[in-house]
Amino acid sequence: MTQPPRDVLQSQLGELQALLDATVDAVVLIDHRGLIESFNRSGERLFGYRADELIGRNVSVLMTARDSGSHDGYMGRYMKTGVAHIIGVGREVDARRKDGSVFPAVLSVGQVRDSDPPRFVGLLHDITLRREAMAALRRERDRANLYLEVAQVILVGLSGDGRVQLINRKGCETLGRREIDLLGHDWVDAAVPPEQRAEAHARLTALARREISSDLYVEYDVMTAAGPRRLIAWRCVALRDAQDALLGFLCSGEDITDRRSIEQSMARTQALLNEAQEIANFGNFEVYHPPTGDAFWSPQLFRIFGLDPAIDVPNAERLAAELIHADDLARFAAEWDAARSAPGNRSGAYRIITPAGEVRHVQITSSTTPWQGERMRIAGTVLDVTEATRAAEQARESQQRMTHVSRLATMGEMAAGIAHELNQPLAAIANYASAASRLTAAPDDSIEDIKLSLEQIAAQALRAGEIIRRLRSLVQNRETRREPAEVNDLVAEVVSFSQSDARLHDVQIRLEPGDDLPVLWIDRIQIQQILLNLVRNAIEAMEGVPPQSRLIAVSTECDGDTAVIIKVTDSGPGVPAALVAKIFDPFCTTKESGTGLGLAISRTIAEAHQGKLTYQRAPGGGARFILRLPSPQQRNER
Amino acid sequence: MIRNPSVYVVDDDDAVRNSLRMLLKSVGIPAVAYGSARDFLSAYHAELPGCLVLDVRMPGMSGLELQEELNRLGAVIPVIFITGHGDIPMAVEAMQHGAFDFLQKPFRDQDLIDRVQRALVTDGQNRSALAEEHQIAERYESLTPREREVLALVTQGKANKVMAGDLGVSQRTVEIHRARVMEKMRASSLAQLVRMVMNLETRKA
Repeated sequence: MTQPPRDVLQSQLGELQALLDATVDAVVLIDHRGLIESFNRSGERLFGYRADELIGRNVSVLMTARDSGSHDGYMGRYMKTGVAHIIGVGREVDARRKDGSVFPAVLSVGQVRDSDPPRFVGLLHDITLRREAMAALRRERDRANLYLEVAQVILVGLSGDGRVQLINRKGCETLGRREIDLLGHDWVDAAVPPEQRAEAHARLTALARREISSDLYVEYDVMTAAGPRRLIAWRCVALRDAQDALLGFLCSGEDITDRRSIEQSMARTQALLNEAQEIANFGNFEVYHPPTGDAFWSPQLFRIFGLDPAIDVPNAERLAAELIHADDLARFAAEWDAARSAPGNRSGAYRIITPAGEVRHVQITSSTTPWQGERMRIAGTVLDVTEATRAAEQARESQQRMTHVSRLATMGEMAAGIAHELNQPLAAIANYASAASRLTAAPDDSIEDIKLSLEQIAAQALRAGEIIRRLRSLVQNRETRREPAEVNDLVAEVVSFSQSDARLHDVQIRLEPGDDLPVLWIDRIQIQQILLNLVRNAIEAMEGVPPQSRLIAVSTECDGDTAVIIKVTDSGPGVPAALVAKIFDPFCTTKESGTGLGLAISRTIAEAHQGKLTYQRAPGGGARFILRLPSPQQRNER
Repeated sequence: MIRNPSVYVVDDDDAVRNSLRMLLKSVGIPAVAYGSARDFLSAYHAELPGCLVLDVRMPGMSGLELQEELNRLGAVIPVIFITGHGDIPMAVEAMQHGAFDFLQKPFRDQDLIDRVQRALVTDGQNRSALAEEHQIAERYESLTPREREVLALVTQGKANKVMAGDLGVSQRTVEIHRARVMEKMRASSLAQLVRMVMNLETRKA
């Protein structure tokens, strides 16, 4: 190689020097012993030395003790073996300034051509900023990782062809596998159960081809080493470079196995509740006043009102305006006002007319409680009692029919007795009339007897008429009709009515009227029917008792201000213990000819009067039936 | 002790009872009314003549039970039962137990009055017959043992001479005894004496 002309060299040297001065890196020229031959401006600035302070000193002065040691090692090995570990590669070292402070730098070394012994040029690049940036990046990355860990998020990075390039700890934990066993493997094959792989592949492919949004949401199971699968909700993005070429996928996954199981269990609970409401035909609601906008009506509630839960919204005002039966509206409005304004429990029965025009009976029960100091929370149920109400109506009708039948049966049994009853005044009238007629033969001596006879004829004719009146009212079939009634009069009538039957069976009936009884508001005939039935039962129950001991006591008394009690007590053997629980059941009878309906009907009548009919063993061992009828004052309070 | 016969009306119905009393009074028959069988029983004794008008249906002691009680006491008072509609079986039972008659309500006043009057006549006859029997028995008691032997033989139709042989006494003695018997028994003829002995034997039987 020829030497260039000196002026050319001089010129090149100047350019080189300018270049060296312009570079931000420290440039050091060292000989084969490592002694510094030259040191540029940037070097002076970086290290705080002047060039003349360094010329002739070993380059290790610019390094920390650790790096300088290994530097000597490199140099020695290079000199011996000619194998360069550093040349053209560069490595990071800790550089030491004059003031002893250390900074990170990249040292790259080149051998000066054609020099013997060899000389080297070293470039030291300050990488403090880069380090800091890297550290900041690392910190950011770590923090991001930490967030993901805290959020328990699985993070998987996939290559464009679906191989695992990255998986975080949560991912490994979830799968129960080591990172190293997953890296480089096809993700879908490694983690997804066989029957879901095709779908998972298809989704990734579609994402890669931009057939679906770059932000893919998909749920699929992953297989775990322990066995049970976990359901993961995945969010995947396709990573692309500046040229929009696919680099891979980044997927974050959330283990929703437990949540899904809770959701499923909640959904099941909700479904069961809805089903229960459908079967029992009741709905529930929760509303606030003033309204909050999140009123709740259960689906069945809508259906009871004839509305569509998918379309209609909870609306109490519409309920009142369109659905409640006009006759019940005032009552409903008053109850609703009360329920909205004051805490407490309420219940009411209303008729509604569905949009389809069907009439339904509902029982609305609600509970109002103060809510967060400013509202009322009204929660409750709506029970469709249409069928029950209709059944009750039918039962009432059939009960009235049965009552009539029973009354006719009563009539049949009592016909003989009534005939006798009617014969008494008629016989008396006939006797008095013929007596009077005969006495007129000697009127002067008999005028008082004639007068007495005529008076008695009139009285007995009235008595006969009264019997016929009672007879007629007994056989009339009619709706329940309440009227004021004196209990003692009513009971006395029953006793007198039963006398002929009692006489026939050698039974004495004793009337024990109480004092100061309130006037009751009852259906006189129905209550008399109960008592007639009880007395007749008592008469029949005493057939096995010696005639002189056959006694029925019919007593009346006040039960405080609240009720009147009528007791029918006999001296018979009482109801057998085994039957006591059943005597009020229909078709329960001890009599060969009985229907078993008498007491059942009697109790129904008593209950229709808000009263009660009960049985008790009498102190003497006989049977005692107690009819309790509420007094009008008590009824008004109800 | 002789009393005027009365009708005893027993019925628990005030109006029926009082009207019956008035009816009987209108034809001049005295009547006493009782509201129950027990009231009647406590007032009644066997010497009282008359008849009983009795309602079969009564609380406490019924008409039939009262009849039973009277039979037990050996009372002879005739009983007329008044029965209601459908009480025929009771009426039959009453008749079997010796009731005088029965009337079914409603009845005609004359039917009752006729029956009551017949019952009173019957009661009177019964009582006379009873009184006669009583007297015959008393007379018989007054005879000596020898006179009773003579009475027995006389009523067998034996002649005085035969009787004297049977008794081992003189015919004259027999004649004196026979005269004493006729006198003590107040018999006016042999036929009457025989009837008295038959009456006595019927009572003993």
